[in-house]
Amino acid sequence: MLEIVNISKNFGGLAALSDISLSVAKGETVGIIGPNGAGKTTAFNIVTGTLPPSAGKVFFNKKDITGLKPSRIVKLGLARTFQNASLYPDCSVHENIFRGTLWKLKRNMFLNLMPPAGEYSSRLDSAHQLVADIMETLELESYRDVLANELPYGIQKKVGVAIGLATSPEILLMDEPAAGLNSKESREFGRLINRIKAHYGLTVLLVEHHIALVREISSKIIVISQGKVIATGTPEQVLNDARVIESYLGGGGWHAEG
Amino acid sequence: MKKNMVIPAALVLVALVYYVSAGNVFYAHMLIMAAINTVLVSGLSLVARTGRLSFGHSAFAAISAYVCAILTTQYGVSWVLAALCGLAATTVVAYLLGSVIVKLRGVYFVLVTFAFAEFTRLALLEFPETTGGASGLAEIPPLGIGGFVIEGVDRWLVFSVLFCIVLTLLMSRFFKTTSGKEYLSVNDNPDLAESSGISVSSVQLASFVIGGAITGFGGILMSSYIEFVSPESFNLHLSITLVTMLVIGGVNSSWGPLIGALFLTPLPEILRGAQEYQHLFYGIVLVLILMIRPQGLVSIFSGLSSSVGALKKEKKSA
Repeated sequence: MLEIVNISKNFGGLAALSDISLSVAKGETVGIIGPNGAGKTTAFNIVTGTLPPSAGKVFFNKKDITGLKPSRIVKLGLARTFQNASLYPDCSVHENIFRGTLWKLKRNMFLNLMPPAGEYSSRLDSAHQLVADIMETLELESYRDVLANELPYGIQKKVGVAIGLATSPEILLMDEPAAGLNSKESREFGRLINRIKAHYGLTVLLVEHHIALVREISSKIIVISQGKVIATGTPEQVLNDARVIESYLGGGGWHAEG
Repeated sequence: MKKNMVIPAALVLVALVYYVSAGNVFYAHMLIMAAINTVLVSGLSLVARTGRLSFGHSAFAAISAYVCAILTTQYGVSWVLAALCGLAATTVVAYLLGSVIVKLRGVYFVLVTFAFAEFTRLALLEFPETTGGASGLAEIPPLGIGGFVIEGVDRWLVFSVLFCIVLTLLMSRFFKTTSGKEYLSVNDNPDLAESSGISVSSVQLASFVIGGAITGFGGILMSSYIEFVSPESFNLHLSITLVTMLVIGGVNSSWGPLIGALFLTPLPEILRGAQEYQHLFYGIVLVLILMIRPQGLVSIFSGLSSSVGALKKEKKSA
């Protein structure tokens, strides 16, 4: 479904990514792990269109999406969430999620001053249904009218995921979904990811520090270190790989985490 | 009509009725100018609500007004056709300028619009055969739609006030539609909007073009009302005044332009004795508003209407 082929990225003289290739198949949950500065976020930003690569290609459903604008890529079915719960701070939870559906509700702005009619009003209805469904699935109904900046952090992160889901993606890219959450919240978040995957038939690619979460939900783990892929495989294979333990996990210390 | 609209709308109507019944030409003139300024500021507000600030909106007013004035005075074109040509010219210029500068970040965008306003003013001085140079164009024919001519203070008062209220209501309606929400999303969080499938640059370009056209129409109204244009009608002072009105009225409200224009238009007249200090006074008012009411004067009204709402609720429950 998603294929990254020989991607390199240089910032000035610094090679953040050198010749990275990886693929994600439909229905998988793939976790990318690696130490700080390994190039995880850079890879993420290249796939979502925020950064252009210095070399290489990104394919989504066999279509070359390299260098497209983020807003174009979303419309093809590839959505992302942000690490620090990026929301519309002065809007209610419902409004935040609804804004994720806006790209599907394009209409001439002058025509839009008139009440909704015909085909547009059925699009509007299905958008509202989707928002209601997402709120139910993510258990956000009790926060419906609360302003985003008044929410607890854990709920803000959920709303971030909800906005991503509202764009109707086939694949959801999550940037450190567990960052800033305690281990109980992070376990809950893992279950949440599994639930939305099943409910919306999603494929998930996540970048994560929290190894316990990645191990729990991923079907495949990719380890990046110093801009290179150093291991790929099932959680068991990868987390017991001698090179991985040496370069990143530092001799089994990860067992204590989570 | 929503609760938060009722109070400003009522205020305007009360003011209108008062001024008309008072039959005072000076007050009527002030109100017409405030209404026209509302149109000028509304165009700017559309741009501001996608997170951009333009100091060049006086140029759009100038281009529309001049095209309309040249066509009516020198080529005998009807007002409606000339106004449409003026708007078309402004739209094209705003599109060309906008598509180049919409990629610029923050202050660079503002600086280019600033330079553009000055460039337009100098260009008008440069071609005196067509534009009349520094002395401008006089005897612009009045606003006529078909056989109906809007001339004289009374007709202008009714027309301009109605027009500015309709425009304000349309703006207010627009920001509740899905298109308007795209604008607000871009303002509130451009990165999130872009990753939700809203093209930030297209939305900002659209707002720049449509906002330019609205301000352009304000320029046409102004020149038709005063029956005169000169480069000094549309200098940087106008751009700065528009921004001040917008900020004082309230950037994030559809009623901001109206409130700002109503408040600031009469000020120079009241301070006529001390005209050289006018901008000093604007500056002081601006600083005070930003300190006390950062959401603009409009927040006083929305605060009032929500406390009235709260009172009603209390009464009901009591």
